Amino acid sequence: MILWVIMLPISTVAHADARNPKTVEDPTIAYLKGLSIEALLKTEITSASKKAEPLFDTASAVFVITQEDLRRTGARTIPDALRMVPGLQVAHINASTWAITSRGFADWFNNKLLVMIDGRSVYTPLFSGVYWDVQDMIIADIDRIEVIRGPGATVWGANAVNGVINIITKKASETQGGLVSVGVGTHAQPLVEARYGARIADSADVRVYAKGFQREPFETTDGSDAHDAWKSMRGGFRADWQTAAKDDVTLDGQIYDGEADLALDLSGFVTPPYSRSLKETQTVSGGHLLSRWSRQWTAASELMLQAYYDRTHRNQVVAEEKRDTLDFEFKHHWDPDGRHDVVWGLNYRWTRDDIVGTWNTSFDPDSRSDNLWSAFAQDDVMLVTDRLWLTLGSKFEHNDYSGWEIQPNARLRFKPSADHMLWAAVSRAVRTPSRSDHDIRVNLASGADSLGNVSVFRVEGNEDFKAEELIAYEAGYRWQPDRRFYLDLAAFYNDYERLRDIQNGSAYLETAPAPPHLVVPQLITNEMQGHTYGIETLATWKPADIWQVSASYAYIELDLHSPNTDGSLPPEAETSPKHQFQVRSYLDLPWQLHLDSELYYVDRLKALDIDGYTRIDLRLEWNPTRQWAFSIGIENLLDDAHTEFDDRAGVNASEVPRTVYGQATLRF
Amino acid sequence: MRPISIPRRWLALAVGMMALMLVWTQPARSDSFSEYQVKAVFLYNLINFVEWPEPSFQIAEPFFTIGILGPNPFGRELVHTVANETVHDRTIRIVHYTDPAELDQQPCQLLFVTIGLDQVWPELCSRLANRSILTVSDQIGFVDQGGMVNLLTTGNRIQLEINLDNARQAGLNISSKLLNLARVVSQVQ
Repeated sequence: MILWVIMLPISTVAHADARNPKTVEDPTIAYLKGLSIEALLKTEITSASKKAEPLFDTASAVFVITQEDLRRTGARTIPDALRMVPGLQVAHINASTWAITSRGFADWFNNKLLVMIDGRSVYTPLFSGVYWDVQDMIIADIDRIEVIRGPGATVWGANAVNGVINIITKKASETQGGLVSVGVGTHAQPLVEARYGARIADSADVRVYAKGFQREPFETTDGSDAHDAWKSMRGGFRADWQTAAKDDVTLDGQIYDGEADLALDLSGFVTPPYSRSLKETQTVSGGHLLSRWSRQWTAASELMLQAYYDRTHRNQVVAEEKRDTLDFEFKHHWDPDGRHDVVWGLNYRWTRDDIVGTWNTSFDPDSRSDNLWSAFAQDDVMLVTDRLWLTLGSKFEHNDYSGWEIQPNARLRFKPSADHMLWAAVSRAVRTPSRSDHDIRVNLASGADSLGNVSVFRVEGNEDFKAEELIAYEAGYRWQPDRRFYLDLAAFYNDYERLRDIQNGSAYLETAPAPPHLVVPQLITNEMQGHTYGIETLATWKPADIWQVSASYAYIELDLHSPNTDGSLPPEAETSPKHQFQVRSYLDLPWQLHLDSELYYVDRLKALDIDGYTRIDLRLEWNPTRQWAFSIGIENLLDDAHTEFDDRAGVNASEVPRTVYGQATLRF
Repeated sequence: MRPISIPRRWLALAVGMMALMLVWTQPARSDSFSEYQVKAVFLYNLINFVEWPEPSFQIAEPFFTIGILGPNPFGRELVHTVANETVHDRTIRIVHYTDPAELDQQPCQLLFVTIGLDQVWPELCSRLANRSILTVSDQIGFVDQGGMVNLLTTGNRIQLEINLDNARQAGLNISSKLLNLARVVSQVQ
């Protein structure tokens, strides 16, 4: 590599300048001069003051989905895009529902993943999970999605136990002009996105957008209509100002409305029929407003203040939830001498809900207001110049369910040379109890014996439910010998304590509602514990400028134990695929054509009786001019339909079908 | 296979890892570049994509002059970039201006403007008239206020903005290869 850098200036200089032998050829400048203008435009730069940590130097298992990845894989929703992340398990449950998991514990209501959009946390404190059907935006306006598998670094918020997904949209200055995109296809027809961005004043830009789509239902395993059609509409804006005093102000907001059909199989009723199949419609609506101010105070010091308000209203048939959230955050980034890089911050979040329950699902109390206070501090210390860094940090949090929680971590980065990076980390992460863990009541199943005595199995929340704890040991290696090849390996060993589990309680008689019935409580407890371990690998290769290939493999083993499952493995141990494998190819063809393909293999989910499946997606795009882009694609080429997950919370799983779609985009 | 049991004293583990590291002797090189290194190289590259009319060069002085109007943001980067380089057999030199009036005594072919345009535009405009000088900057709004090429830092990349009409008015011809990579604005300002 060094040799190449020395040869380059010799070949570009027309003649040696004998008059000025003191001019030393700077190797970095020489390298940059050798790049084409296209390559220069793609070069990542760091501003003098901001210390942007390129992906290569991060001491975590991180993967970045770029805008190019989003376009090439034809992602039309965020969950579609997440499939390509090594180690992430993305299972489509029905047309509007996904189970997205990092490093085990797959579930619709997976509670160990923190998801943020532009700094706003989008997980619901109701069950510490994400409603993927309401997180959406114009895909072309996403700058990148950063995914960290493993406990988020100290700077991230609560819940980042097994991963952090951070969706970052482009600044308003980067989305100027108009964009209109229309898509049609089987099951996703139509989809319309429109955006217009303009400069409204000196250094102030704004964009406004709207997106709407309608999806037809999938099918059930016996070929009938799965009753899971889905439609959604949203509109929003983002405005950015950059004042002369180096202030950056951002304002962003969105409102949305949607509905999704649900086919439910509910049980737990005290009168026959004890099990009922329902075809209902769930409605969702809400919005948010976020404001952020940051200033480069001195060359070494940057401040950030952020506040947002979020409102959701969700009628999920079994319960109806209205929630308001207010969040305030302060962050200070201080880089005094190049040896220490300190980040610290404070956060306060208030959330209030109003839940109208049904017989099936209710919360006690049905309205609650919670406060979350947290502070974090982290120092990234360069121990050996340009070779070895140690990051020490911790988050301190007080929540209304489990009180004080401390989450420290230590990370080490070692760069023996510019091409190799080794890292290791030890962290303690905590999954704080959610409202469900403490307050939920779900009548899960019921039946009558031959004498007509009714028993109801009821999941009961536990006020003493404690936070789940994780101690994670991780390590990784990255190698980038040149611009054409990249290798990323990560391994983890997670030690869990106090995982959520269900314990049979002693039955009691309940007289209301009539008829009197026996209640067999299923108490939510912290009695499961165990280990998980695995590896995630990724290799990216560019054999030519026009062709990029990536391959990734992930392996996970879950060894969980609970006193409540009589010695056999608890179901959570087998809801994750042991192996996942994928290959992606991006090929640029002549006549402005691009051919992209992905192959995904997901191993079987033993506990849910879901077979392993292979999925192939293909996409062809044509860019006749800078303004127009046309694409057609097929998802699930090989397969008519397959299920990816099981029924959850009464909602029936559908078969994910083969989809053919086309999209036309105009930029003006 | 039963996983080995790892002690909970994770700090001890981190220290243990440090002890295992070997120190290599190859120097580390940064994988991202400083903003002004990349902009300096951009300026140098721009010269190859723009055609100046012949009379804009003074016959007596065989130089291609890059002027910087305002404080110098490049440090030594621009000097290193153009060192030993020539354009059509003319050596590239860098001249610093603090005032647009200096353009009359010592004209240039490419002018990088670092002073805020709103402070200096009327004066600058009159000096640029009847001269074929390519005006370049890295300030937001430069091409909408009369400038020709802007190297805008967006996120952590550089985005090119070009006002083609402003350039044409000065007699400059910009290659379509460059225009295809830029956000092109066409209104005369």
